[in-house]
Amino acid sequence: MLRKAKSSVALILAFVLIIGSFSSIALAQDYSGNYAMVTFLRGSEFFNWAFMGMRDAAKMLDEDIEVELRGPSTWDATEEAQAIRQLTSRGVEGILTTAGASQTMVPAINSAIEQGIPVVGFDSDPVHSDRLGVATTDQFKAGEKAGEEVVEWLDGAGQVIVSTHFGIEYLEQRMNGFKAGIEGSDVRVVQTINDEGEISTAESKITSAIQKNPDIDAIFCAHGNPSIGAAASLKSLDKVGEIDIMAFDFAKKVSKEIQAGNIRATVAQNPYLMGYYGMIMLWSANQETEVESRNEPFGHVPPRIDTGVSIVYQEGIDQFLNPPEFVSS
Amino acid sequence: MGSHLKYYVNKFVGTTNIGLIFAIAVIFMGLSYFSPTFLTLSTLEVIAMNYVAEGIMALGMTIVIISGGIDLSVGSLLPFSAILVATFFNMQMGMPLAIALTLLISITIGLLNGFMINRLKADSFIVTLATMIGVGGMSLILSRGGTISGFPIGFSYLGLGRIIGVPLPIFLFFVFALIIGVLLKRHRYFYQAYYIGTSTQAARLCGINVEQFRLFIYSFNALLAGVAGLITASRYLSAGPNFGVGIELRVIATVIVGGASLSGGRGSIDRTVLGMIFLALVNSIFIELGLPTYWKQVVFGFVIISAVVIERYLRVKRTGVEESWQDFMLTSR
Amino acid sequence: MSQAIIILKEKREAQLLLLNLIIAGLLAIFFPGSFPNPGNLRALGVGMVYDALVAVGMTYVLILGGLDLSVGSNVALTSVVTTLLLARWGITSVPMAIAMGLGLSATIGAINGAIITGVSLNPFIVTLGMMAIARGVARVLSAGFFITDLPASFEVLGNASVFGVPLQIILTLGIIAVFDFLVRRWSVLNRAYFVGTQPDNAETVGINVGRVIFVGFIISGLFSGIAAIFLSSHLGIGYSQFAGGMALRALAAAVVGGADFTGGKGSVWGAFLGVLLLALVSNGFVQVGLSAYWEQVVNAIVLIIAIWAASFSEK
Repeated sequence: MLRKAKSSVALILAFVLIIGSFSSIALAQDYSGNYAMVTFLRGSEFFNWAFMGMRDAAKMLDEDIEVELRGPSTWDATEEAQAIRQLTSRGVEGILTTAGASQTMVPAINSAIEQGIPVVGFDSDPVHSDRLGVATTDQFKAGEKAGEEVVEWLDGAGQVIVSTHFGIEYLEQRMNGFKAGIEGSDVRVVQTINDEGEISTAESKITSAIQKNPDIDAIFCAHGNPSIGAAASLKSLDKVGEIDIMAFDFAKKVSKEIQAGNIRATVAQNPYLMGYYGMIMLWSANQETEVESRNEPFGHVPPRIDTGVSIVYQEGIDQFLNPPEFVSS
Repeated sequence: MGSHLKYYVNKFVGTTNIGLIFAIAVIFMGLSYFSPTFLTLSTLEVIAMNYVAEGIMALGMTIVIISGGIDLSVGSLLPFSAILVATFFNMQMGMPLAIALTLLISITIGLLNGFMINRLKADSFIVTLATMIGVGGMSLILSRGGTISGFPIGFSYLGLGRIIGVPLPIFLFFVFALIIGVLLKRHRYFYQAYYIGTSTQAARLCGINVEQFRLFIYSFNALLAGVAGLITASRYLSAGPNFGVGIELRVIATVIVGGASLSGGRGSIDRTVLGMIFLALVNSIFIELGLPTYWKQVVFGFVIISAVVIERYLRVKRTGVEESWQDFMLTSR
Repeated sequence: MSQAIIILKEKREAQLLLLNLIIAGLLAIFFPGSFPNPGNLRALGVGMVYDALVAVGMTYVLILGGLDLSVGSNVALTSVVTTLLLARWGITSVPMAIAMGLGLSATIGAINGAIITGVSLNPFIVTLGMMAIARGVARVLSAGFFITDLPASFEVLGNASVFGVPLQIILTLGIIAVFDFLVRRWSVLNRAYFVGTQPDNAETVGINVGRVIFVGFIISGLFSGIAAIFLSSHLGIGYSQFAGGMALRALAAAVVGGADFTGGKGSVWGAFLGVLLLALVSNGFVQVGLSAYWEQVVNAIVLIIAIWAASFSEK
């Protein structure tokens, strides 16, 4: 009796689940694109900006171009490489990619190029690959700029806590840049914290580190998430204004904290432009260009477009307070 | 005649995961209908290659799970072995020595798992969780948080080379699957896994050396994870601490979807291979059909729950045996 | 004296308490200025409230003989939905949004429980599936964005202080204390031990085992929901990436605290002490100022020591 009841429950459930699977596939309406963007941490605000730029450029170039977003929701570069391989075998017209780890993507990118699919880098440059060009901000220089700015804040002497996520290549580059930026001054990094990418971990460890180093003057966050935790920490310790935070990127919450004065400034790259230029570069790789190409059979692609980096303070933050709305793809 | 046929059909249904075969067939047909490029050798190859590390690790995990244990540490063993071999190469070590040392260290970590489970009389879940955290930390220390490259040219053969036209990793997967599958079915030592998984105490009473088997199986599992790490390093010609984040759960899901039971005593290599093919296909659906990538996890979750629900339904229907989910891990010590 | 040793041998909570006291004592001796001061205790508190809530819910499921891998994703989804309700979906009443968020988290637990008991499926695989689904839905709903523009009153719960102690810490301790009392004394919840140890006998005695388990998963879901509300309120955001490694951390804490996978064992205070141990190690690491590269290795060693200590009490 019980057995019968249970097996019918199972049958009904199986049915519901199958319907569920199919309807969720159907809900996710067909979005087959001819150009693809491949990112790690898919869905972070930063890459959403970039994807918006790519979409806008695509619309400008040709109404019929469709673009799609691919890649893992983690920091795993091997999954990015897998996505590139699969897109290659499906036969897209171009791939715009950022590299979770630059070496890791090389074989996949080179094989796409070999098969006649243009690949352009953006943001974190897959520098060792045969990618046709790159639209980016130099991560080292961005970190260096942050370092120099912090030196200026502290008048050349002071103590800094740094929060980063260990094991991520481009964060490592920013850190090296930051260290180069403060070199020659009397600004010292007294403690480096592994925030593991989690906001509340960052908050807890930063709060503790401030107790350990009571003379701390500034906190540098190598990426966006810990700066939110750092701001929460300063608020709860009532040290806003006493300790300055240098954040990275302008996720909406970071912008709001800057507006509220809890974070002093952020290192702003321009992901929208990276996506925008990246799309144009891919497109021109598929055209016959006036300028002679260095990458036959592709059209000419400018090897490097620097989209710039700036330090944004409270007065300049308004333009960042309206990030692109939810993109459903 | 009819009853003979029924007998064989029943026997076939009894030994394999018929629901999964059906699901694989459906996905396969759907993909070939909707995606013009799916049914090409190169696409199938890419799909298989994108799940081959999970596949190889799932082979060892199958035996671990049959014997009533679980091994989370493989998740950080994969990047660790990749980083190890890269480190050795950067120390100007020769290829055979570097590979041998890497595998040896992997095996040692597996032995350590087995030793601690035996000695601390602790659950395999928590012990291997601790090892996973520790090994992950060692990866960070060795790599200094960055990606290591600089492999000798010949090393790329392991991940990118071919044997009789088949990519070497896929070839290796099938060779391993065949050997381990046959051993698990036919060889007395391997078959002990089923006895231990069904009841550790009964197995002890039958004179099976449970402790020794555990040492063996955890180091064997670690060895396979080490091999998967080498293949990954070779395929991407680099090694980083973030390689394969969360892969341990995908590996376990592969084994369970295939029809093994976490309470031990049930499962087989051919079922795991089916599970691997199934999840490799599911994994590829999104890019193949150009579906919005945000939904990927949602569908993945639905699919694994559906697969186990259907398998359970069919098995209960066939055998009439009702089990309680509370058999879960009861035999793991 | 010998009595104390016996208690130490048999009571996991006593061992853990001792281990925690030793670590805290050492830190207090070596860092008298920076460890036992209010700011650092606040850091310790923030570092453990969310984990503690989730670990306590997890312990209850472990006592029943199950486990719940979906807790972290549940936190993320509840956080995203609660904040979306307030920011975009037109709910103006904060208590209403919180109630709906908690309702959602309980529903996620209920779905887990229904599938597990209804089909007799292994909780590992069911909650693994739910872990992917809930995280996926959170991402679909938010597209990975921080959800901001929340009413100021929503942020009160997570940021207010009573006599200098953050309200969320007081509430967490209160909830855990009440739940601990109920699990020990209230027969309806206390049944979990019996059900976890001898499900068949429990059934014969007339306990509806399925229902007890079903309720257990709802409780676990609800605890994740509470953690999500505190977390979103404290930081003023909804975020689909919240609590990525929380499930495994909570499991580790619960098991260190005396629970195990065979069911029937574990206690609420044990889980709390387990979380405290992990938080102390993380905090101590910052205090000692060792290279953060070594943190995970030290975590693993402490975990193994805790397992080792526990192996004395079993037999």
